[in-house]
Amino acid sequence: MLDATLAQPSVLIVDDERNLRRLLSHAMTTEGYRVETASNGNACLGFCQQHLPDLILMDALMPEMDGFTCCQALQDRYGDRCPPVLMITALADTPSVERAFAVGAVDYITKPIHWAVLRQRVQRVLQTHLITQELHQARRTIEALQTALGK
Amino acid sequence: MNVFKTPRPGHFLDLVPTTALRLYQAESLDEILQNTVQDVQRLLATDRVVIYQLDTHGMAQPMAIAAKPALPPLPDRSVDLTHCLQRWLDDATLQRPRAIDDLADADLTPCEQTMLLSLGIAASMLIPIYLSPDWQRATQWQDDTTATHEIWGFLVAQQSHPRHWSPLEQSFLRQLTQHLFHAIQQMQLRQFSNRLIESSVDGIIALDTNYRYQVWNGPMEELSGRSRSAVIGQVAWDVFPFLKDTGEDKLIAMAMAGQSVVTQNRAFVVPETGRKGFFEARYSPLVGPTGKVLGCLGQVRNITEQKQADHQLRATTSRLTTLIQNLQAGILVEDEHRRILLANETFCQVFRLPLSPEALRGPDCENLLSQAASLFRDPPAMIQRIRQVLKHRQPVIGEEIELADGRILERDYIPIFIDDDYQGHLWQYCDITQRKQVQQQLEAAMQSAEEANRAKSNFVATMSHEIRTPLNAIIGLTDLLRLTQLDDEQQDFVDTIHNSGSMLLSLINDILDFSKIEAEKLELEHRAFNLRRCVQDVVNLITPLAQEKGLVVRSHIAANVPTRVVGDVTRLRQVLLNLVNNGVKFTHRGGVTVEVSLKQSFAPLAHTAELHFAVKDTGIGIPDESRDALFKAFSQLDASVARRYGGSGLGLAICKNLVEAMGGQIGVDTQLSVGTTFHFTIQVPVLSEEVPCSLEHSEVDNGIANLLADDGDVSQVLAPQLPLKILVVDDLAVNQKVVLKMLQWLGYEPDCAASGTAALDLIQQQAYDLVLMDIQMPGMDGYQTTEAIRQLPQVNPEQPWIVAMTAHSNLDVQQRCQQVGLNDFLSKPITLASLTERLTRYGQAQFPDFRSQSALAPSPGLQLCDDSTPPLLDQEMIGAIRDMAGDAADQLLLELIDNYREDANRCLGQLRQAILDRNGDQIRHQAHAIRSMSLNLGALSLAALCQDLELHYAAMAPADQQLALSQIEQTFADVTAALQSLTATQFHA
Repeated sequence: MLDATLAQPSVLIVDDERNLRRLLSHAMTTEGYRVETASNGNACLGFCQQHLPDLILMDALMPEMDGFTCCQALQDRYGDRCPPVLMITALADTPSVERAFAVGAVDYITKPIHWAVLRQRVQRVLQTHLITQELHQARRTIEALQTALGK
Repeated sequence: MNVFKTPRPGHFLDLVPTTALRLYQAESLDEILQNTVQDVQRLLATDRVVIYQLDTHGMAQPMAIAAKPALPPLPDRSVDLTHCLQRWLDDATLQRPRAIDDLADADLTPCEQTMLLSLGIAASMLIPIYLSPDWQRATQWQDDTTATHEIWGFLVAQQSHPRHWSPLEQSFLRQLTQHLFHAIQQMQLRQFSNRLIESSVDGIIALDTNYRYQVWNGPMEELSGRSRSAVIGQVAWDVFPFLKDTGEDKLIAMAMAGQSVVTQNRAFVVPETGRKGFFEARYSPLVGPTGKVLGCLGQVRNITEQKQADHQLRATTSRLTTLIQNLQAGILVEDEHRRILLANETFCQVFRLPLSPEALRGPDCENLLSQAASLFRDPPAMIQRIRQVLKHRQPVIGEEIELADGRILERDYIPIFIDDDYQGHLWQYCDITQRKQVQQQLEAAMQSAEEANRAKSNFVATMSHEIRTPLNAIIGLTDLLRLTQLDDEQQDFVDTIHNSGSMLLSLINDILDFSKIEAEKLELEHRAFNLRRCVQDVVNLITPLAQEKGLVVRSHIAANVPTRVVGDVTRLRQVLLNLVNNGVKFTHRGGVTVEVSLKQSFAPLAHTAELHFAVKDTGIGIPDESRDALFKAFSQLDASVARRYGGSGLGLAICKNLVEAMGGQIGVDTQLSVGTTFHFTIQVPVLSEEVPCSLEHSEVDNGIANLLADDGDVSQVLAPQLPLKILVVDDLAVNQKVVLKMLQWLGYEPDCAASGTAALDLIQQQAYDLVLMDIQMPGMDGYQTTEAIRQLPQVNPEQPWIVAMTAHSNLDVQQRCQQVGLNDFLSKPITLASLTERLTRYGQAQFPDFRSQSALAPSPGLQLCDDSTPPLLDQEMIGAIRDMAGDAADQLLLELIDNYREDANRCLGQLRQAILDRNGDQIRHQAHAIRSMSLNLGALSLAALCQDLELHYAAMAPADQQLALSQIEQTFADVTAALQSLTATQFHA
């Protein structure tokens, strides 16, 4: 269980573009999150094996492994435990938005990035995620208790 | 001058008359006084004799001195005698000279003592000189009436040693001073009389009984030009013979006989100067004290100026009177009491008065008004109005008055003032009945002309639409027909029909353009565009036509010509196309060259440039006599030209008007059988300083698909294959058919709707991907239908992509399209090429991964959209980054800019290589990368250029890719410069 007072939520930024990575990490650091970055999908997967962040900001279009593929892979690997993914897409790119939801992203933001929107979405997604995590934890505790009682 | 010898004692008194005579004969006061002191000094053998004159303050001024050198000289300044005066005056009242024999033992006042001592005088005799204060009355000297006399001054005899003044000497001096008094008085009288005569403004003369001039004053000298000395003593007619001619002699004789006579308007001529003039004179007898006539006194006045003024006044008056009498307007002049001073014939006629104008003069105008009032349409109102006008005394001009008989008068009221003094007023009445009628007719004519013109405009607009619709069908269907199996002859027929249709359409467009220009309804766009691309487009368009004739079309753009300028690219292209097309039309050997140069570079800050275009051909040339008519509407050089070469004859007139609207001028140089150069200038704002494109010479690239509608080989076009549901909305069956057939040929099975309502019904029943929407429809037009579709409750989450089909593509239409939610538009006539292009565009917009395999080139219609260049740097985006980053913004931006420069440069290098290697994937990839990173920093125009390449690279020839790359590089340079300045101005300020 994560305690927001003990450790700030961590955000993993996955983008092939240096400047966008820089901008996003600045924005997230300013919000008080711990920030990690990866420049492509593979790096993201590698990072997650070490440590699961509380939220992933993922660019949809990247060379080699794009955001959709990466997101799908995360879902496959971590299931319930998979951190929420916010997909970054181009403004008018409706098909991308649909694809993002299809592969399990919880929400999306569009480029050019509206910083206030980003802040709000990240905050909301994180809250939901933390509550969900608590819920899972509670359920697991109940299951454990039931199992103990059943014995 | 010593007239007298020293007399023996006792003879003094005998000498008094002789001395006195000399006094009376003297010419001036000075002479009198000087003679006196000299005579006295000599006669008394005294050291010094002085005559003092007393002023009102008791100061004595020496007026005349006769002295031997024995005495010290008198003080220069006047002597203050106030203190001595009392004593002397006492003596004087006693008629006694103040005689001092010896200073030592005399009874002296302290004043006398001081004075005499200071002058070194031992003996002195002082005699007062009296003067009557009322000297003009010439009262006689009276011993016993001294009280009525005042002291004029003193005569003083002085001796350096004591001397006894004998009673005889004293008596002599007393008598002498009496004569002196008379002499002075006489002199003053004479001077007064002279001054009197000279002070006169008029000339004054006096003649003695022998008609000799005795008096001739200054004004006479001026009047006659003769000096006093030349006239005095001369007989009048000896000097002025004309006096006898004018009978002046008789008048003077009458005056001598005792009558006063007056002469007037006597002409004279000054002999020396030839000056002519007029005088008037009064002659009166000059009567002596005894009543005897001594001569004649004349007063002469120069009345030349008066006469001239009088003459001028009369001439002016006479001219004005003549003028007023002959005026076409009725005139009535009244004085301040409303008495009629003047009226003219016209006035009497206007008011039907059975009187002569002269007969009106005199009486009060009120009577006349009440008589004439019945003539007016509304007499009480008229009388009221006249009273009002008279009361205000302000000019009233051009007041219209209706008369009972239907005539209309125009009335002016003009008050007359002389130096703010109201003197009366003038009425002027003009009969404007006829003028009014003409004016009304004119207005009616104008109105009907305007109506006719409106009708004509409507007719042209309607007809053009009516003509275009069947033409669209002809062009569209022959386009399709050419794709079917035809034998050579059929192919030829179809081509001919297609070409003729295109030609007809261009003719109609010319006429529409021209009527738009004529109606001053031409609107120019102001958008950024690529000048080099515009010229290239023109060359590309014309090249196939030129090649058919074996001609070469080239362009040459000078290195300093800016690439990106602001203006109306469509209109510029139209002018160039027209001129180049003309060149090709009239050239049989050689070619046509388009040259662009920077004619005049203004100050860099002004950001405007004058571009000079020259379109040179090696054609037949234009005969001199036809050159003037060249730019006029409907003037092809002769009918045979029209037959041979075709065209509306409006092309050059349109070019001229367009060029002038773009702030330039058009002209032509031509030589028969050598060639013609059309040149024109336009004024354009330059977007930014930049290095011109490397493509300075650009030969036509045959690889570029040509866009002439009548030459499009559409059989090579492969339609993008997307499974699309398409709806065609058009009220005209023929239009429906064209689009339907084309779509069918491309492999689609579109639905049709003949009205907006029908379209709405269909869309609600079934989801469409794409709607082709005619704009001009009866009932619900295309705009309204689109709006209605956009407002439909969501039948289908994906709303259709709607493409407008319209014959107009001006700014208004584009804006309107955006407003109502139209996605794109398609210009009529619709060709297979343009339709395919729109489908491709739809595909790219909807499915980014989808890429057309077709070898389509951008059509002219596409350019309209592409030319709307987004800003170089989106300040909002930079601002958003700053807001987000807060305090660290400057640092962050610097870092971002450095990164961007580094990354973009790397990608540009790879893009360049990819184009050389013809590596399509790599081109797309790098273009995308640059676009993406540019977007992060708000470099929107650069992003747009990259997107263009990213989407269209496959359809582009290598040369075009090069062109696109150079534009990208160009813009990238601009962007970095702009970012640089951003950091320079904002970070280090």
